[in-house]
Amino acid sequence: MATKVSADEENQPSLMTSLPEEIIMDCVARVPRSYYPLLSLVSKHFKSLVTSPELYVRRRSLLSRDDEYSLYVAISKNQTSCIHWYTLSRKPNNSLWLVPIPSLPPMPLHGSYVVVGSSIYVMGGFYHWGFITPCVSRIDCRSHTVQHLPRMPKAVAGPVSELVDGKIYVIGGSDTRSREMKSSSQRIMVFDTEAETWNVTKKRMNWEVKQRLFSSVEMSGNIYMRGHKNSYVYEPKGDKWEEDRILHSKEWSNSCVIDDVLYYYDVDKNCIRTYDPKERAWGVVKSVELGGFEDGSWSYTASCGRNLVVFFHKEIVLTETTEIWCAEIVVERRQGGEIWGKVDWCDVVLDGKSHIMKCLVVKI
Amino acid sequence: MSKSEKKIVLKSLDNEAFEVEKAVALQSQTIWVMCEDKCVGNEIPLENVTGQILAKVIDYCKKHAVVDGDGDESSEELKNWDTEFTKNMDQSTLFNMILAANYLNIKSLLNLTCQAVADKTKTIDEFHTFLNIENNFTPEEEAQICQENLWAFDD
Repeated sequence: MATKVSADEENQPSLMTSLPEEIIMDCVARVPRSYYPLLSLVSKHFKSLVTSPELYVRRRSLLSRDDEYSLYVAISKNQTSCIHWYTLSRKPNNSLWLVPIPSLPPMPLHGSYVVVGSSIYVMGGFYHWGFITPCVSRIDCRSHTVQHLPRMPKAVAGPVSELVDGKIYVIGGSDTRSREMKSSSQRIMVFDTEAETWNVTKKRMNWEVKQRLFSSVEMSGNIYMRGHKNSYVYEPKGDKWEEDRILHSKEWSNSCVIDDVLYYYDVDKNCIRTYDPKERAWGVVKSVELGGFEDGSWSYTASCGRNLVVFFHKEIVLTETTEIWCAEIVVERRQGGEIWGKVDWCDVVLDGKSHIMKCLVVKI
Repeated sequence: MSKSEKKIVLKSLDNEAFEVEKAVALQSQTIWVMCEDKCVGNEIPLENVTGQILAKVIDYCKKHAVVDGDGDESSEELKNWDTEFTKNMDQSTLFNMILAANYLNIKSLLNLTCQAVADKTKTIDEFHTFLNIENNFTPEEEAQICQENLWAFDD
């Protein structure tokens, strides 16, 4: 049955007075954050309470909430319209669902989306009606408000970007809206999140331009990225750039990292693959079967602490719609180095025509 | 100290009297201050708490006083006891326990009851009733909320 916000709720004639504000806040601070979109519908007061800074101060003082992660997913209706941010939240029936964040404006497609602390930085990309934008904004994931930051030195779309030591490295990306979105620059743009300033590295003459970088992860302070012809490792500290042919032997993308091991879901072979950069070896997570996905579907992964979250796409041929499914998998490295996984839950989290463009984990 | 000095009488709003060990009652900062300041004698009137709620508060304090004093129960056992204690409390009891814990200033009980509300409250209706929160959206706002948040109303 539907949970309704109804004004004619039976008012019990009881001794009840209202609770002091600080106690209401204390109770709300103890509720998992995935319930907050629902709580914002309780009353006007709750709507502002769930985004108030005081609430997050209280949450931090409650140790059990210390390691709570929120999943933010950028969704485009048809992969050409701008993105809207959704969070994985609880519905009244307690199931998880991708819920739009109403206070955030539409944001550019194919931008850089990088998590820094409890914020998401959105850089570059394009709106469907316009040119590639050099604009940079920061989403505060507690208040769900946006702040504008210094523009990029050069507007690009579809680069890879990673955070290393408080600096966001924006690598590759196209300055035209061609279909291939090939990279044109031999420089890396670096944004210092502390000083809020941009820098540009010197030209890298041996760097092959005219290719697109698809995917990247950060492991042990190095940035690993995949292009058409090769995969690369960039070490910001020594400004070193290398090829990694073993990494490139699999078509990895939309990956995440747990304990300095890369994870991605191989939809063709229906398995989770791992790449350990220390061993320079690929492996498969044992005993995980998600299965039943059509050809041409895609997947995204994210790491929530030591758990792996996988999003899939399912085409519903009959209704010509799509469903987004999500699975949370507990991974564990056993003796001998084998990685085993156990599916904690797996369910549909969004229906209708929607495509995931990025998924991020923010520690609140 | 004589035997009578170790005991204290707590009197509820509806004039129910509870004789308890001082060590049990003094977990309440409010009672502690009353004893220190006013020298109210052995009987302390608690005008904001009913006998039904006070009985439960005393149960809680007894359990926790024993453990603090003798250390004969493991913290694991105490945790289980706490869970059982709030598990079957109905909404109005829990609400009144929070008010009592706040008035009596028993921090651990306040934490426990607030956590219980957080654990039990998962729907909009439950929040309205558990915390006695008024839904102050206008019908127009409410219609808009329903439309914009179909995910919260569609099953």
